[in-house]
Amino acid sequence: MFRVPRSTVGETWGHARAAGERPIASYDEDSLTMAADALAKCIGHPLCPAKPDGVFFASTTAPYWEKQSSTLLAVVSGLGRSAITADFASSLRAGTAAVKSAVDAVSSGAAKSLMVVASDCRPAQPGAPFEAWTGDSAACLEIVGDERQCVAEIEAIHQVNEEFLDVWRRSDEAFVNGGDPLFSGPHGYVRLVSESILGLLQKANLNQSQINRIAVNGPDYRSYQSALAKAGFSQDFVRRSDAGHWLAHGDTGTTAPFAALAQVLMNSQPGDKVILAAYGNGNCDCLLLRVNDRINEMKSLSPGPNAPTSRILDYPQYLRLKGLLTDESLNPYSSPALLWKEQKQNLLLLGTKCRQCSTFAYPRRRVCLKCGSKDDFEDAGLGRTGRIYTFSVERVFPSPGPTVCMAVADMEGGGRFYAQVADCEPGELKVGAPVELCLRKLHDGGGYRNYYWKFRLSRVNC
Amino acid sequence: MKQTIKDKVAVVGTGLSKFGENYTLTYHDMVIDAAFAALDDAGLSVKDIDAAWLGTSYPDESGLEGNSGASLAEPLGLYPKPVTRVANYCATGADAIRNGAIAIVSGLYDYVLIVGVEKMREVPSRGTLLARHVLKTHPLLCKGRTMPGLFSLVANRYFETYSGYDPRKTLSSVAIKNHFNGSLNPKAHFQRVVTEQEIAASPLVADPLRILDCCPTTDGAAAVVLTSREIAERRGHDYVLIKGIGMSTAEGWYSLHFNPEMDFTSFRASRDAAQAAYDEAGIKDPSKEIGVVELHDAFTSAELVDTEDLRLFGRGEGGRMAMEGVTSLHGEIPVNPSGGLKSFGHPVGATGTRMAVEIVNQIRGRCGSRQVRSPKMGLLHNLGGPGCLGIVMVFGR
Repeated sequence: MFRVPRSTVGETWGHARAAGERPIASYDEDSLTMAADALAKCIGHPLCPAKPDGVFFASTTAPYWEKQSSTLLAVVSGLGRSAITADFASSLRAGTAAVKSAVDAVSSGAAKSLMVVASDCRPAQPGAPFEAWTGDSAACLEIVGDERQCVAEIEAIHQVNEEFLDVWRRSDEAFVNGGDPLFSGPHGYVRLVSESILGLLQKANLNQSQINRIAVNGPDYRSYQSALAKAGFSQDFVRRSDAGHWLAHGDTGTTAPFAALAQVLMNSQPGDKVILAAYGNGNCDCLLLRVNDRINEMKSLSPGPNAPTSRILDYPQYLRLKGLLTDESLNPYSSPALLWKEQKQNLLLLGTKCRQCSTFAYPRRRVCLKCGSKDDFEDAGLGRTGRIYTFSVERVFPSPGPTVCMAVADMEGGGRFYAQVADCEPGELKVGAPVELCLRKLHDGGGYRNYYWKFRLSRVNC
Repeated sequence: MKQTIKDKVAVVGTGLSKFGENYTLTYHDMVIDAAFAALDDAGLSVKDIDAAWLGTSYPDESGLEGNSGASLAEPLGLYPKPVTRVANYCATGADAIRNGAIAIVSGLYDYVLIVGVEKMREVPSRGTLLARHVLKTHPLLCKGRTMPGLFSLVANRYFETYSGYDPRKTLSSVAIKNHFNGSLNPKAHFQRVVTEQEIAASPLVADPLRILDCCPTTDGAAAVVLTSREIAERRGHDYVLIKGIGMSTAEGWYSLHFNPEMDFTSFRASRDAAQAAYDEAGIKDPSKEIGVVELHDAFTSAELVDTEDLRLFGRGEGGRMAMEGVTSLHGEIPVNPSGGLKSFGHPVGATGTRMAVEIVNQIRGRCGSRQVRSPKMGLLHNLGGPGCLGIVMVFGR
């Protein structure tokens, strides 16, 4: 992930200079890899109960029109062949649609817990006025049936469906399109979000003063303010809810409501009532949450807001990453049958451990190099963190960036791994530097996305 | 008793094509140039050859020839003799000699011809060795790897492990030496001296390696004629004997980088091949007994670790020896007097055979301004693939 100052985007096109920075995915990331990252962090979180029963993926920018992304997410998360998987798409409210389905599943007992991960690389036309405010981001949360395991309980849900054209992207279009925002703002987003919130309050028999904060997405800050004012909330409430979130994140697609929720929860106290809302194309979901005592545990386990450590790019670099200033595209050899045969090794990072002499091998081996035993091994996982043993900077390997950093690392628990180092400047590579593995898109050889692991220098993430 | 090869196989003829961007020469042209030069040197005609080996590693680069011994038989008119094509990454040219030598020891043939040849230019942009690494390797494993990149992993670990070196100066000393030697060699691709400033200013390829740390992309062919020692004696050839051959297969195409025992300052393939060759040749201290060396300097960092793997110097000393001129043309242990891969490039199938040509002629005293002081024994060394294969061949009178 990188950042582009919003001012440089505006400057290029002669728009008003906007403040803050736009988060941008690297050329080897997409909504699936970002989701994998968020999912790994969430599943690995100390407050996350044991292995979830499945994963729902929500995005308007999934890597395929036709190939489910939640499957790969379930596989790399080790959720098993019987996991419940589904993709939610087509709208900025897809994330809350997934949450509602997850709620139904855990309420009915069909699952004990489900992960919901929203992820988007919001595609703006270069030069579009809202380009500086779009962003790339992913967020993950877990829906559980047992109220003793959650940090907030969902008490009521209300939704509004209206056929409305404000923002759209046809299946043959690359960029988000929209009508006249002077029409669609007040008559679309503002009206429908406020209607949905009022409907929720009525359902829950509450008034505005009993709500502590709201997490909701929006096309721009002014519309967000207007919608909440129309729903009867004070300016102070609006300020308290936002707390600088809009400036920090902007419009990050399906992720936006969850990113806002994360911020809201970190500022909440046990007993607070919080609204999670998502609006997209005439649909608005509103969920009423009651924060409980476990929020204090979550706060104590979470690092405070850190200064972002990702690199700042300029606008041409941004366009290059977005594939908008394209190189000749690479089509390396790939084979669906080969990838299928090697999933254990390549996706699950499982090596082999010889049953006779305990020698670990990665890549996998049928014939042990130490004792010669054939086909007598068990699966053994490669560690996901390690330290650089040596490194190289490839300058002739074709890539959207000027260099491809490579590292050989000694992995935690034994074994070695050799791979690209993502998001890395040559000067940052040092023998001994700590690294972790992350899922990235390697290339589109064979005409499909080839996902694999890369290193990333371990640093504090924001 | 176990069979040995020592003193049983004689090299009686050697020949080279010009090495370079041979746009005016076809694959067959280069084969003819090298093979006939070797046959003339041996005083033989094509009819005298009983069997042949063709070393070509990447026939599909030029798309036309090299996938079978037929590509050697056709231009020379070797019909109907048996001809085998050998491919073993960078060890191809030397391994072809090894196979021919084993055939001589078997007694099945009197004279055998070995030609190593590769056409690396005249390919579409996706046909180069680099593009091959990008497009024709495993879709996921090691993706991003290039050969200069591997030797960048080596350089970075080498200078991390051994203190007191200026990496840039140390690497450059190897390039300067080899280009100087190449400037004395009319068959070399690059025949000009390079300076430290030029090297330091050349573009980066895989940090810290710059373009002038890397061998060029070159076409070329080399040939040798082998016979038994008895026949060489009887017929009065000016011959040099093979004293020992060691070849070691140490890794797979992807496994080196995942091997926790790989320390990136040494290649087991080279060490084991050298040990086997020294044992066969009866060499106890190569630093004293070897008078001339052609080793695999595809990249300057490779030469540093190769000299150590060949036990010419101790671990970590390779850099110092290069800097101090010990490996220069008139130093104690001249390395790559021909100009090495640095000056000749690396037409993969040809390189090992070309090295044999140089060592044999150094021992025969025929190298003119490049002649090193009376070498009694010399060796060639190749390191193939990313550390997959090592081959060492010792020669002497």
